[in-house]
Order: sequence, then C-alpha cells, then structure tokens
Amino acid sequence: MDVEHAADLLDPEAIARADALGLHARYVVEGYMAGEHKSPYRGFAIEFAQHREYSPGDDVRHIDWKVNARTDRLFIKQYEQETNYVANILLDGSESMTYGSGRHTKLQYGKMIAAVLSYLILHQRDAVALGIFDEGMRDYAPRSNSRATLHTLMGRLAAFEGEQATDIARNLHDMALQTTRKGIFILISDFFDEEEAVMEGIQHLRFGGHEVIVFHTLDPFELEFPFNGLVEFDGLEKFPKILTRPAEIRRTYQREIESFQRRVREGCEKNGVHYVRVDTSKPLASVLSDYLSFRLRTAKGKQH
Amino acid sequence: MSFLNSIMLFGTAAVAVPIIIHLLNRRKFKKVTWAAMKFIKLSVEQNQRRMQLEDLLLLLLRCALLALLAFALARPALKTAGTDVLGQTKVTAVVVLDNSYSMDLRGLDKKSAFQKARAAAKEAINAMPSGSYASVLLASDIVQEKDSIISPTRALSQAHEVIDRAKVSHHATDLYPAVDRAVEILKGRAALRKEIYIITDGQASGWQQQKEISKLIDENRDDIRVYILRVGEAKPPANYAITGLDVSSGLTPVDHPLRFDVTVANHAAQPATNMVVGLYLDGGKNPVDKVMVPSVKPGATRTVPLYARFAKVGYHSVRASFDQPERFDSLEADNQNLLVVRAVREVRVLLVDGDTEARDPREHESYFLKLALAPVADHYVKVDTTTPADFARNVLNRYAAVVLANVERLTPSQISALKEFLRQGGGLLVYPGDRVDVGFYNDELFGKHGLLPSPWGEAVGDDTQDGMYTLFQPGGYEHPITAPWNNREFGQLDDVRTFRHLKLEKQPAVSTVKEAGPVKVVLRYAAARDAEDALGAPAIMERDWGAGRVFQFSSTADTAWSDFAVRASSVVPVLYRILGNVQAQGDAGLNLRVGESFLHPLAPHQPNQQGRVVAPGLAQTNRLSAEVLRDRPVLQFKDTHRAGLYEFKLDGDERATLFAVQPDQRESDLHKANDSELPSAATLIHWEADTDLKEQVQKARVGAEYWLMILLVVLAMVALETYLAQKFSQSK
Repeated sequence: MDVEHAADLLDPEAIARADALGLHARYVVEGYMAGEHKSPYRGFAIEFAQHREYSPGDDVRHIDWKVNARTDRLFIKQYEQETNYVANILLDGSESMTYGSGRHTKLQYGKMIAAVLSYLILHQRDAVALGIFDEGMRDYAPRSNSRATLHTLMGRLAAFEGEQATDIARNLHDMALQTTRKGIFILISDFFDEEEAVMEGIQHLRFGGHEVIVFHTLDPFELEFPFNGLVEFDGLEKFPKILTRPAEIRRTYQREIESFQRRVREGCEKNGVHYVRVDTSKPLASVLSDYLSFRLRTAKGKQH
Repeated sequence: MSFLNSIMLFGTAAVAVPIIIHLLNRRKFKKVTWAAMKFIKLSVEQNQRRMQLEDLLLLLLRCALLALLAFALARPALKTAGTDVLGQTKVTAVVVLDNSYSMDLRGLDKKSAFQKARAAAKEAINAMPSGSYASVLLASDIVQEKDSIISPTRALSQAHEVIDRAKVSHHATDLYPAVDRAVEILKGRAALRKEIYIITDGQASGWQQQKEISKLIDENRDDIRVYILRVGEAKPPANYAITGLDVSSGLTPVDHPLRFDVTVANHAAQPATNMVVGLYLDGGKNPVDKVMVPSVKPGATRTVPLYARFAKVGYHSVRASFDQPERFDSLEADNQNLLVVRAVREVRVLLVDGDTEARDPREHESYFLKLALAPVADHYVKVDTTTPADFARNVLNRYAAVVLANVERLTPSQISALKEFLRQGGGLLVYPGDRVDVGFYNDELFGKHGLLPSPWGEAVGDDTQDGMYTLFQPGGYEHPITAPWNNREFGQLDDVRTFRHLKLEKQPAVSTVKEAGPVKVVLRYAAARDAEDALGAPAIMERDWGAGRVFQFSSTADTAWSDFAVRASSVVPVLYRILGNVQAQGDAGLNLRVGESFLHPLAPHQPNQQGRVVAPGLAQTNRLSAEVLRDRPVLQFKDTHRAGLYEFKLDGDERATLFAVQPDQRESDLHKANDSELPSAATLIHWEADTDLKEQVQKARVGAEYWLMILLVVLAMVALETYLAQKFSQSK
C-alpha cells in the first residue's frame, strides 16, 4: 500500500461509529480496568478539575487541607487525568497476513484496525505506540499522544509490506521486557504460529500487568475453505506445496480451524485477555462497534 | 473360453484410459497461494490414506469397467456350456434348399419333394431362437443368388417369404458349391451356434462330390453343425428321359428332309419298352414324326432317328417328347427335349485352293472337298473356288465359311479381310499341305493374330509309305461336332487313314489377342499303345475368334497325306457338322443348358440397344440392356434356370429370335444316395410332416455367450462408480 493511500486506512464509517462511542471509550477502558485491577492511574494528579465533599471511604490523601482550614469542611480534590494511558498496538506483518480472498488482505484489514484505533486513542488524548512485526520488530513508532503523530503512523502502516515468516511469541516477550509502564496491548494477528509459545508471550505481557486485547484476524476463505477440484496450495512463509482435492477434506479442515480458533480464544480467556474474532469480509465498522459496545456494556456492568 | 469377436480384445487396452486421464488430471489443477497451510496439512494427513484408497478403488473400478466392456464386445463364449444364461445365445443358420428339378417329383401323397422341402425349411427357421440369423440358398449345381438370401438376415419372416417364392429350377444337383458357399457365409460370421440345413431329396448326383463335402464339414465340425434333412420318397420311381436331340447333318436347309437324333435314357430298374417318341415342330400339337423306341436296358440309352422338313427360312423350334408321358413317370421336365434351329435356303462356302496348277482338276487341292460339300448340282451347299491371288477380290460376307486348302501364305490385306469376316460370325477352315509356309502360319496366323488354335509342328509319318498310317480315335468323342459318333449306329471315323500330318499341340499357348477364344479339340488321332497319355494327338482343333470360329486341320484337304477326303461316309457329315456348328456359332447359341447365358452380340454402333426376353411360363418380360463383354457390346440374359423355349426381341424390331434352354440331363437319374453315402459328420434327419425338428436340433445346441451378462455387470459397475464417485467427492 502506498503512502498516499494511508488515508484509506481510516475507514470513515468506522471512525464515525467509533467516534460516537469515543466519549465513553476512555471511561470504558478505565472503568473496566478499575474493576479488574488496581487502577494504574491512581496517584497521578495531572490537572485539577473540581472539589467535592468528602464522603466516608474516600482516600484521605486527596483531602484538600487548605480548604478545610478555611471552611472547616472536608473537600476532596478531583483531577482530570491526561496522557498516562498508553495503547501499544502490535500488528502482525508476517507473510501469512498477506492472504486475502476478497477486497482486503488480512494485513490490510489489520492495518485498518490499527489505524482506526490509533485515531480514536489519539483523539482521546491518550498515547499510542505502534509496532509492526514478523520474526522481529520491523517497524516501531514509540508512544506519542500528539495528534500530529497520526499522519506518521498512517504512513508507516501504509508503507509496510509483509514478506517474512512470523514469530509472535518472541515479539511479545521482547515487548513485555521493554515496556515497563503498564498499558494496553492490542495484538492484531492471524496467530498462524506456535500456539503455546504465543500464549506464553501473552502471559508474559499479562504478568507485566498489561491489559491485552487480541484481534484474531482471519479471512472468510480460511474459515470456509470453499475450494473445489484439484488445487495446489502454495504456502506462504515457505511452507511446502500441497496438492489435494479440498472438497474431500473440507470438513476436516473446518474442524481443525475451528478448533484452532477455540484454542486461541480459550487461551486468551484463561489469561484474562480480551479476544475479538475478526472476519475480514465484514465491515470494519461493525467489528469495532461490536467490540466497543461490548466494552461499554462490560464497564457498565462493573460500575453498577 | 473362446471369443467370437476377438479383435475387440484389443479394446482391453482401454484400461489405460482412466490411468492416463488420472495422470493428466494430476497435471491440471488450480494454484492457490495460501496462508493456513498448517490446517490443510493436518487435514490431508488425516484423510490421505482414505483418499488414496478411494482413488485407487475408483481407478480400479473404471479400469475394470472398460476391460469388461471390451471383454463383452469380444463376445466371450463357452462352446461346451450346457445352459444358456439369459438365453441370449442366438443361432446363425444357412438353409440350403435343393431346387434341382428332381425335387419336382411327386410322392404317393401327391405332394412334390419340393413342397415338403419348403415346409422343412420353414420349420428349421421356426426352430431357431428369436433374434437368430438365417440365410436361404436355393441350390442345385449352382447357388441361385438372385432368389436367395445370401447374407444372413434377422428378419426371419423374409426368409419365409423367400422360401414361399422359391421355384424348382431345371438344374442338376451338385450340392458342393452350395455347401461351400454356406460354410463361407458362416465362417464370416461372429456367432457361437452356426448351423447348416441341407434340405434335399438325397438324389445320388447331388452327392457326386461327397468326399469334398465331407471334408468341408469335417474341417469345420467344431464350428458349424450340419443337418441333412431328407425329404420325399425313399425309393426313386421309374424315370425315363429324353436326354438328347440333335440335327444329324448339322445343316438345316429348307425343303430337305432332316434327320433328328433323339436319345432316350432309362433310369429305371426295369427294361423300358413300348415307349413312343414324337417330334413336334414350332409348338405344334401333333407330331410330324413318331417312332417306337426298342427296349432300353436299365441305366442305358438309345438313340433313334426322327425326320422333319422345314418349309420356311428362319427360326424353328423342334421338340422331342414322349407320347403320353404321364404313363411313364411323374418327373415332367425330362420327358421332352427342345431344340431351336435356323432353317436356311442355302449355305455358301468359298474354297481357296493353293494348288491349282495341274491341268486335271481332280489333282487340285480342293477337288474332293468341293465334291464332299456339294455332291450334286443344285445342292443347297453352294461352293465357289478361287485361287489365293484372287481371294481378296471375293466379297467374303456372302459366305458361311472360307476354306484355305494348302495356301502358301496370305497378304496382310487378306488377313484383315479374314479377321473382319470372323468378327461377323464366319467360319474359317485351314488345311495344311506341301505348299504351306509353316513358319508364316505359325508366326502370323497363330502368334500375331491368334487366328489358329495351334501352331503346326513337325511332320509326322511318311506319305509315300502306304502301309504306315495313323487312325482317328475310335471313341470318346468330346466335341459336339463329333459326339454323335459315340453312338456306333451313326457310323465310324476310325477307319480314316492318315499317312502324314503336321503335329498340333495339345495345349497351345494362350493367345494374348482379345478376340481369340479358348481352344478345343474336335477330333484326335488314336493314342499310341505305349503312350502315357490316353488322349491321342489332335487331328482337328477349333477356336472361337470374334463371333466366328476357326477350324484347323493337321492333314491335307486332298488325298496327298490322308484318305479322309474320299471317305464320304465320314468326311461329309464331319464337314456338314462343322458348317452347322459355324452357323450355330453365328446364331449366338440358340440352344443353351440351364444356367448358361443367352448372348446377342451387338454392332459397335449399337451400344445403347435394348432388348427383351419372354421366359417360358412367365408372362413377365425381362428387359435387357447392353453390356460390354470381351470389349464388344452384347445383350445378355442370365436367368435361364428353367428349361423351355424363350423368345428374344430387339427393341424396334418385331422379329423374334427363339432360343431353347435344356434341362441338365444328369438330373434324370433319380437314383438316391444311401444314408451311409452321405457325409457322416452331418446329422441326418428323415423329415416328415410330423417330425419334431426343434427337439432334435435343440439337443445339439450347446455353448453359450456371456456378453449380455457381462454387460449387465458393466452397467451395475457404472452405477456403483457413479455412486462412489459422488460419495467420495463429498467433503469429510
């Protein structure tokens, strides 16, 4: 994909829909995490917002003693947090992601997810770091909360072309070691790799206290396997060719791929990772809105 | 196990087809670049064994299917199989129906043998399983193809129709050609059960080639079953026949009493007495002459003379017939004999004399010849004499014959004139002598023009030694001209003394001249006692040339080398019969034996001339169109299977030409062959109306074909293949 076409990555419909939810996005993320873990943002007063009256249970460290001295009443200082939320988007750019039966390859679709999420996150004044990897990290944009970064990110995404084999686990381990500040890891991949190793990588991230969201990106043909006649499958990532009649193995194949998806999902769930299955034939907007509305609902559920 | 259509076994090579298709298909596939290879690999690994097995199973099924199809088309058969699975094994049969005229003989039940034979033939056909094939051959001494079904037909009703329409011919019986033909027909057929039904009255003459027939049946006994169905009376009734009718003198002038020789044969076991033979002219109901035949011994013949006189020039029919034939026997065809003759006002002969130098005409070469031909003044034979120098000036077409007597040589123009004369149907008689240039005759007339039947060879004998001579053959005369002398009552030829003659070759080289016909010996010298060959050297030979005929003598026309010229009782009838023969030759064969073609020569300017023939007893007119025979246009009539008087007319000419067809005399001998004389390899059935033929032949019908069964298996396999291919291709 050319750099000039970088704007294509931002699916306007997807952004429009996601924007509508954008007001809640940060809240959703925070709230969700607050319920689940110790808030990573606690103790960071970035910008004073307002006072409110103390009620039992509030942290006494946040009582504004100066106001108490003047008014003899207890007020709590409330702050608006800024730029301490970092989303690390990791896009699998291996050769297997270049497969696509329809309008988009998985890589293109993944790029769009990455782009839209980056836009949303930056739009909410959070920070985004973007990494595209295969066997190693091929391209990495360090975290930034500047909206101006968006253009750079789009350019990088658009310019990338997948050529190499993949090693997801190694990249996850590297990221876990390098990223000391807790944040969210958004992993976009087809997960055509050693499943156990990948799970170990995810566990490593989780162990580091990171939130992990997985976008499991698959092409509809990879799910349905709709080929007929005699077909020679020429493997990406240097896989040897296989000549077979797909119709005769279709059910086995479908069983295998479903089982693979299930294993990935279960692996994610076991590790407290949010799993989103992405079908590249579906509009990006619906995928994202499904996901975000899900997050919203989950957050609400936690709030009440 | 044998194969009736073994060439189809090559079709088993078709088993290679599915393999080739399989291999070709493996080279024809779509290419897809794919990411999720791991799962395909897993799926293939799980299914590979099953898929390979399925592929192998389908491949084997398809190969077997094609192999079995080829196998079925090759029509496998087991000759010894007793049961016919699915009843698909058919019979291919040839019915040989004897229609020789002895089949016309009626039995005590007033039914002719031929009526019974037809019923037997139909029953033989009815006894075949449906779907069988049958040929019907009307057979006598020939196969009457026009009225037969040669190529076996499945339409058995057609065979019935042919049998219903079949008529008795006037041929003799000799079943060998028909059996040979039947075997040939069946050999060309791919069938398991082949049968020949020979339906005959068992007349001995039909089995004259019994050894050859037996050999034929024996050679094919594994392949073809032969049934002989004897019909008619077991013992032959008495039969008498008129086997010969001929003009003694050879020539048929008007207003002269003519002697006709009638030969009567007794084929009965008892001497024949009180037989009266009458001579009838031109279809008349009353005989012009009658004679009582003296007693004839069983198996013997007797020739009696009858006399008649023609009043008009032209064609006449002469019929010799038994008086009240119904008294003698029930075989009608041989109770009479027919002859067609052309009565002439006069016969002109030109003698070319090569030795006329002597003053005394009695010493001229042709003196005695002229006397012999025209013994009295005003005789119906008119003789002109000329010299070789003047010969070409004579207009030859006025003459019936030209005689060259001791002529040294001929000029090219004389040879041309003679050839044209022969083309028009003239006769040429050539005598040697001391003046003859033998080299010229041999090179030119024999070699170059093919006129003479034989070259003249070395001189045999010495004309100066009166005590040293050769005689003519004492009997066994083969040629129609000399055949009457086989009857000693007619006279004798073996008293003629020949002192010197030029050798004629017994089998001269075949001429390359198209107009030159085959060579025959008319008369021979007596064979030397110690000679290896029982046949003596030729004395007189003849050959057809164009429409005419050439006679070549080995000795002189005068008395220089032989006394033949002065033996009036011999030389006169021989010369007259030669002239008569020339005349008959010019008339294109007015008297034929059954089966011989009637030929009417046409002039070269008549290539599109048509004609018509009315056959005896048939109202229908047969149209004749010109055809080319030996480079000359002719009208030909071949359908002369029944004896009788035929009438031929050229289109645009109302004058009729008559010709007679004689029955084959051999058939008159009704003597039956014993059962033991019939081929032992054939199954003999004495057929009567109540014979259960089907039961008898069914027993012997062993052997079964299996193609239908295999085809059903193939069909089942096709269904299985379709089902499996469908099932296997479903995703798993």
